Amino acid sequence: MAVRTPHPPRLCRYLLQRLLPGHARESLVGDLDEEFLRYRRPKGPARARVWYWAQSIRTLIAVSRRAQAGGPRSGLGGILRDARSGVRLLRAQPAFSTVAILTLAVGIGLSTTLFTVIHAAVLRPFPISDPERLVRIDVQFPQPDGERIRTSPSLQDVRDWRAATTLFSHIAMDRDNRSQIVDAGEPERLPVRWVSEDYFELFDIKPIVGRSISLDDARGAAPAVVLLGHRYWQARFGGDRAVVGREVRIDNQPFTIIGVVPAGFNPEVALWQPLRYTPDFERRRGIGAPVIGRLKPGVSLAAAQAEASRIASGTQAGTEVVFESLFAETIEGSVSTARMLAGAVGAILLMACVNVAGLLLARGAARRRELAVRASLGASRLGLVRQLLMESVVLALAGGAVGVLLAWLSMDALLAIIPIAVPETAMATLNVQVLLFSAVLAIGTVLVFGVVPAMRLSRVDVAVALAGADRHSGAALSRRSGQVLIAVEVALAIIVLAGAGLMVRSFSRLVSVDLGFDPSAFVTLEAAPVDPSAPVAAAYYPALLERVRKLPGVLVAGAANQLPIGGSRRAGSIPGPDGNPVRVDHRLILPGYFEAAGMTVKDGRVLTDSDLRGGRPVLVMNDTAARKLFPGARAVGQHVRLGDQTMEVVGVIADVLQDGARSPVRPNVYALYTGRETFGRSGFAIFVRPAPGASNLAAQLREAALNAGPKAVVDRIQPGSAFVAEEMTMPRRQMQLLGLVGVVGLALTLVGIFSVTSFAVVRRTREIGVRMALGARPASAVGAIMRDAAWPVAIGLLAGLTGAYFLTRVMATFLFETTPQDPATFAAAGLLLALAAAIATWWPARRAATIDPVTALRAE
Amino acid sequence: MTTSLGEFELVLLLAVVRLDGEAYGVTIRRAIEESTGRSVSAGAVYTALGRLEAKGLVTSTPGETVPERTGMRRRYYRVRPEGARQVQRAMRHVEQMARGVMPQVARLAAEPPEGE
Repeated sequence: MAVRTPHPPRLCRYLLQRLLPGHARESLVGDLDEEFLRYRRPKGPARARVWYWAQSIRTLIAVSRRAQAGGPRSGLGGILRDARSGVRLLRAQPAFSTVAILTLAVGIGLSTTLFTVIHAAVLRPFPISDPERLVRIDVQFPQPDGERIRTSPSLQDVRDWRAATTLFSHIAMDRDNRSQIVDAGEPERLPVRWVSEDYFELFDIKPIVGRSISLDDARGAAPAVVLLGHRYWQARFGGDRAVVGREVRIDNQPFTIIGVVPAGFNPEVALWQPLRYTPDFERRRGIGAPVIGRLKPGVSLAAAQAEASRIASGTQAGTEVVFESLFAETIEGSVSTARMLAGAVGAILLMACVNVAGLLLARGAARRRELAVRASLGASRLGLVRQLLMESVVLALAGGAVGVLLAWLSMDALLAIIPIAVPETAMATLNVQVLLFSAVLAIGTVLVFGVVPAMRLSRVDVAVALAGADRHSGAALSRRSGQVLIAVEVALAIIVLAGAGLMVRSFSRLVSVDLGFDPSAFVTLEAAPVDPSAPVAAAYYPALLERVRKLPGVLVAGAANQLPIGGSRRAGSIPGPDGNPVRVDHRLILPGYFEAAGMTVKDGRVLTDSDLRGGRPVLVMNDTAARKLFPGARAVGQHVRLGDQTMEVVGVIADVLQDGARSPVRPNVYALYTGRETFGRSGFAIFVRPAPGASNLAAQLREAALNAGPKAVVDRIQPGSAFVAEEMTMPRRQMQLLGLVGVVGLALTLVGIFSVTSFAVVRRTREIGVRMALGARPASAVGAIMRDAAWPVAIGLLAGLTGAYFLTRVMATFLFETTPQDPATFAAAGLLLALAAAIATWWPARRAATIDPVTALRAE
Repeated sequence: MTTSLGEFELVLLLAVVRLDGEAYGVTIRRAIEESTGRSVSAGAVYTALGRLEAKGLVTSTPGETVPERTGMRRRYYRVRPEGARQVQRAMRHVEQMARGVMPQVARLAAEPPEGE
């Protein structure tokens, strides 16, 4: 720094003024200033400043050291001294300290982990610094018939916007993942994504090996190139950095590898291909690819939208451009879950703080004596308050440190059960912001809950305290605080427990719902010929089914073009009874499917091989379709028009929950696959019911699939239960996490009640001694203690249940067939808590019965 | 029975004597730095002088202020008779222990470190 400053560093000097004790200030600051200005600065201002800083720090240390030796209590010395006494106090009371620190740690640890996940999923899902500037761009323009349609822009639009450089720093296009057959030694079906050349730049992604896609790669005649996804690179190429230049085949066409995408960015994509600009693509809107833009900083959304519309209207009048925030799209699903979780964990944190506050209060009550002595020795009220506060800060820092450690250790385990899908673009490790959050949380909670006790305790009337005569006022205070604490904790705990209970109930209902098929009964084989054209497929699948049927371990086998849960749909429509078309899912099957999947026939029969051979147009429909198309009548024997064919209904099956338990059932019709139909990229799946005692079935199936004729690839072989499990993942996690929160909440409450009651016993030792000396039985002492706690527990339960009644509403979207105010759950939670609270009061209260009146009365 | 002087305190007292009426924070600190090559902090000097004053070995008086100190006065220190006596005693002890032994010390200092 060559700035010539005539003054000593301002900040430094300010600190000195504030932190040095009064008597030293004049001499020290004056001396430092004088030496700085007279002797040091002439020799070089920068060095002089450094000297000043160094001197200041060393001086502060020297002065504070002296202060600890019994010197002045103000300034930095005083603070350090109080901190050390805080540490000493913690070590002197290990039971208290352990409980307090662990309580804080659990609360802070849970919040830290959750905040890490929320931060990753909701606050920063993209690796760029300004994710709110990412927009998906649609165009809306009038059609010849007057209607306006909304669709993706054309390449011409994109070019025009790029030319007007004021709007976007990047515009890129990408096409949804397409499942294609990739061969790098062994063929497999993998997601491939087509993106324009500036797609990666838009997200600030640089390849870790090789180069990114450039404009040249997108031209019609350019050599075919591809980028590897990180996961695929690791799995198939072993992370070999010399992968650039090697070849991979996609749908039988050769491509050269030019680079590797870094980890964490859309990890499911195996390969990235440049979007090819065909002439068709140029002008037409709606057949291209979705367009994403990154707005230039300083450009407002509205202004950019208007300007973009103006430009786009150049090609077609009346065009309107619509921006959708990519950010909002990505985090949409997570926000509600995040909110619910934040509530649950917030409750835990609150409980932890309440516990610690109670502990501090109770401990403080026992220290009245000590504080009175200090006051009588001249400590000011401010000094006492500061001492108590510093002790709280030490406690808070210890709790925070252990909490962060806890979070770090348990991060992986907790991430597995946190029901938010964290986009892997955001690396969920403890980062600086989380650390800061925890630190602020720790110090904040303890200061808030340490201030009240501190203020209260410092109000010490010396003479009264020393004489012990303030026992009554102190006792009353402690008693009231203790009861308030119990009530608050119980209320919070019941809310959390109710929530957890609802989740458990919902999940158990979800698990036991009748899906319409038997997932434990079958295995699916997903395979497809490398050549996806219709004639090849028409030959492949029936042949494959034949082979599979002949396998010794197979009882029954069929096929369908759709998996039991999830998967793509083939939409069709059938004219309904009132003339309006009814949308149906049109499923193509090969006979054996219904039997293998364990579906229930309600009327008529299923489709058979003879139907296939006979070529008759027959179909089976599900209950929902039957009721919609033929309300009040029998569907079997009727005829329906599907597409261009008239088909006879030969059977009705019970509804299958094809979108999982939580979506409504749609009308489904099942027709035979004759080889003429084409279907989507997911191909056909063979459904196999294994014979009892079948072994090594997977290998046999794979072998059959690879050798059924045309060269083929096996996607997946998995049991039916796996599909169900996939759908259950999020609900299960939700239940597990909330269950964990419930258990932790219960534990904290019990610890709180236990502590408060223990302190109550100690506090009331004298009173109980008097009672027993006057003839009361020991059991009545126990009863007295427990009664004291019973009222707050009851009030807490009442308040909590009322609160839960209103609060559990937010969980409604997550619950399956369970109302948020389910009475059975609330009752169970209440009973559980009441029972636990009773035990938590009874256990320490037992000690009251063992109080010896003589010693109690004699003791202070 | 007075306790003996620490090494730093001894150096400090000698510096105050040497400065002869001109001894205040800045000059004392710089004197020590120049004579012994040690860099000491203003705070260390200040607190040590405070201890010495409490023991009655030095006395301090507020002085004038100069423009650079923006109104803050200097504090001048003087060694009191008892302080001077302590310095004498301490120096005598050292001299006595050191008599005739310095050549030996020099030999020990020149030895290579053990184990090499």
